Amino acid sequence: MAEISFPLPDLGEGLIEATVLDWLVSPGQQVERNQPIVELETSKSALELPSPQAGKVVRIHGAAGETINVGEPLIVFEVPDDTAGIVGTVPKDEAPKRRVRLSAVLDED
Amino acid sequence: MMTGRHTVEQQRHTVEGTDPGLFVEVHEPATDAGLRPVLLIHGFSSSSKLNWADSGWITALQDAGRRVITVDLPGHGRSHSPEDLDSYTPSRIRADLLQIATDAGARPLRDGDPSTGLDIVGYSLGSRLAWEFGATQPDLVHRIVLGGPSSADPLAAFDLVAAQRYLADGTPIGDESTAGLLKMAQLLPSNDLFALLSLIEAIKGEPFDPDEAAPHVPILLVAGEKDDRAATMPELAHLAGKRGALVETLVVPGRTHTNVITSRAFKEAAIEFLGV
Amino acid sequence: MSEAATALSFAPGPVTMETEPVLHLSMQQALNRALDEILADHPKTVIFGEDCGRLGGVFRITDGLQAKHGEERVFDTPLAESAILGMSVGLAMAGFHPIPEVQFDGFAYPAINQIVCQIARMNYRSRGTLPMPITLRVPSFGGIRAPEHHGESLEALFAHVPGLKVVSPSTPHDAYHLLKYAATRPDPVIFMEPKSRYWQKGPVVVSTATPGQAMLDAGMDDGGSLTGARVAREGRHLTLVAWGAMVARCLQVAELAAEDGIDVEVVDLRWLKPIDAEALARSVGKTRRAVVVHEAPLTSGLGAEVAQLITQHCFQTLKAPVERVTGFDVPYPSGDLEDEYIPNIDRILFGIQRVLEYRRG
Repeated sequence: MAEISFPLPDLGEGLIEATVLDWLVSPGQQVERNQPIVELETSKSALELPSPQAGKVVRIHGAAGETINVGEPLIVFEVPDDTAGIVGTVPKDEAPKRRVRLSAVLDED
Repeated sequence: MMTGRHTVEQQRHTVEGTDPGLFVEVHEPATDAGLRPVLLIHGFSSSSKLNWADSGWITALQDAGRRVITVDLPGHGRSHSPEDLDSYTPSRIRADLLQIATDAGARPLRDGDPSTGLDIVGYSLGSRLAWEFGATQPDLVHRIVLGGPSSADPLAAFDLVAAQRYLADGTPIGDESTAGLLKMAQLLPSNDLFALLSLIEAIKGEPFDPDEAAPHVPILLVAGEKDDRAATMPELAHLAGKRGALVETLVVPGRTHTNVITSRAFKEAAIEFLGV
Repeated sequence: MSEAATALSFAPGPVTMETEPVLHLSMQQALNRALDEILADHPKTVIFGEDCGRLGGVFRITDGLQAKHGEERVFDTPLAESAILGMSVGLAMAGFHPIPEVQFDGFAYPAINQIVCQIARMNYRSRGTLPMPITLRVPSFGGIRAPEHHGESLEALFAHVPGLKVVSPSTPHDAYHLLKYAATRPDPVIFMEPKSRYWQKGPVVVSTATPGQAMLDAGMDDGGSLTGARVAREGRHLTLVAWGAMVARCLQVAELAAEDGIDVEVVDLRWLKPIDAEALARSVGKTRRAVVVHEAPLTSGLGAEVAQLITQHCFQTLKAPVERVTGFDVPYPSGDLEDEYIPNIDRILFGIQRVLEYRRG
C-alpha cells in the first residue's frame, strides 16, 4: 500500500486560502473518484471539493472552521501499489495462452 | 459524474422577439427516476457553475435520478450582457425561464404523471425569481425550494448613485448593504459590472413584493442560522400559507447566507422535498 | 549463492551490511528508489517534467522526491516538451546532471529538435567542452490501453542519432541499476521504461556500490554486465532477441516452446545503442537460429539492425535467415486493438516455426 497526499488545489480567481466548513468523509472511509469529500468556503463562494481519486482516507487536515492555504496538505489517501497512472490501465498478469504448436526435426549438425 | 450534460443551444427561441442569450445546460442523470426536471436559479453575482456545480448540487440531484436544467442569469456566467435595460427586468427573466424550461422538455402538470411539471430550486435572488415564477405559472410548477430567501429584496434598496460615484472617483459608499453588494460583485473578475448594475437598476423598477403574487404550491424555505434574511422566513411562510400552500422550513445550524449552499442538510432536505 | 552469502546465513548476531539487501520491488518502486539515491548521492542532479514534482509523476516514479529533496531539485514544468529538453541543455551546460521526464513516449516528438540538434551533438560541436550528462526518462511502448500518443516505440528513431545512447530495462532489478548507471554517465542517455511492466514485482539487489558489483557481491550473476546484453534464459535451439516489455513475453514463449521440445534462449538486449554485438554472436553462434521481437513497426525497426549484426557475425553457421516478429507498419492503434498489434505469443511461435522449418536449397 502507498500513501498519496493531496494539497488544497488552486481554486482559481486568485484565491489563496479556504476555510473548512464540513468534512464529508472521515479517516478509514473508502471513497470513489469524484465523490464529494469536503465543503470549503472561500472569500468568494462555498464549494464542495470532489475526490481527486479513489482510495481509503488515511488523514484529513483542518477541522471545521480552520483555514488552509492553497498548496498545504488537505487529505491523504491509501491506495494499492499497482494503481495505474492517470492514463491507461494496469495490465493483468495472465497465464500465457497459445494456439500455435511447434514441430521440427532438429538435425544436430 | 457529469452524465449527459448538454446545452440546449439547438432549441433556442426568441422571447418577445429578442434572443436573451442566456447560457443553458441540461444535466441528465445516469439513471432517470422518472420525475419532472429541476430548474436551478442562481443568486446575484454568482453563476450556475459557482452556485450549483462547484457546490455539488448538480451531482447530488443527478445521483437522485433528477434531470437538471441550469441557466446563467443575464450578465452572469456564460450568458450575454445585453445593452438594453429591459433584458434585466425580473418579468422579462421570468418569461425567458419559461421558454427555457419548455425548450428543455418541461410540460404542464398532469394528475398522476410524475414526469410532468417542473421543480425549482432558487438561491437568494434566484429564490425571489422562483417565488414569482411559481406564483405566475401554477400549471407548470410542482414544488419550490427557496434557499437564503428574503421577503424584502436587498437589491431594491441598493444605492445605485452612490455605487456609480464610487466606481467613478472612489467616493466612499455610506450605505452598508450597498457597499457589501458592490464588493461581492467586484470580487469575481469574470463579472460584467455594467451588466450587474443594469440588473440592479431593472430590479429597482420591479421591486420584490411577495404578497402581490404568492405561490400556492408546496414550498421549502431554507436558510443558514447566521443568515440575517432567515428572520424573514416566517413572513414568507405566512404569505404562502394563507393562500393554502404547504410550507416547510429548515434552518441549518452554523451556516451563513454564503456558505449554507454547500450544506448536505440543505441538499438532502431539498432532494427529499422534491422527490415526490 | 556465493560463499559470503551462505556464510552470512549461519552468522550469529546481527547481519553485517557487507552483502546488499535483496528487496521485492515493482519496477515503479525500483525506479523511485534509484532516483532517490541518485539525488542523495549526486548534488548536481535535478529531476523535472510534467507532474514530476507535486504529484510525483503520473506513474508515481518521482513520488515523494520533491518532499524529500526540495522543490529546487524536483519540480514541475509547463506542458512543453521542447522547453523541458531545452532547459536540460542549459542545465547541463551549467554543470548540472538533469534527469528530465517526457511523460509519455508520444510527447517526445515536440522535443525531437532539442534532442537531436542540441543534446546529441553538443559534446561533438563543442569539442568535448560541453558534455551533456542528461538522462531522459521516457515511459515507453504499449500495453496499458492508453489513448493516442501514449504508447509508441521510438527506439529506432533515437538509436539512429549519433551521440545518443539508448537503454531499456525489462526487470525491476535492471531498471534500478541501469538508471543509476545512466544517470552518472557523461553522455546523454534515452532511458526507455516499459510502462506495461511498471507494476510487476521482482527481486532487486539494492546497492550504493558500483552498479554490477553489488550483484557479484551478493552472488547473483545477472547474465552479463550492466553495460551489455543479458541472457535471460539459456537454450540450445534458437535465440529470441528482445528488450523492454517483450522480454517477459519471450520468456513465456520459451516455456511453451519447451513443451514442444524446443529449447529457446532469450537475450535481453538492454542497450539499444550501442548494441552488444558480442553477446548476440555468442548466443546465436551457439543456437544457430534467431528471431528478433519488438513492438515497433517492422520497416527500419531495430530488428533490422539486430538481424544484420547476427548475420555479420554468424553467417557461416546460421541455419536460417533471422526472422522478425514486430508491430505492423501502421500508426499505433487505439487500446482496443493493442492485443492485435503487439507481437503476441502465437505470432512469436509462428516466427520460431518459420525459422525451424527453413531448409537451404
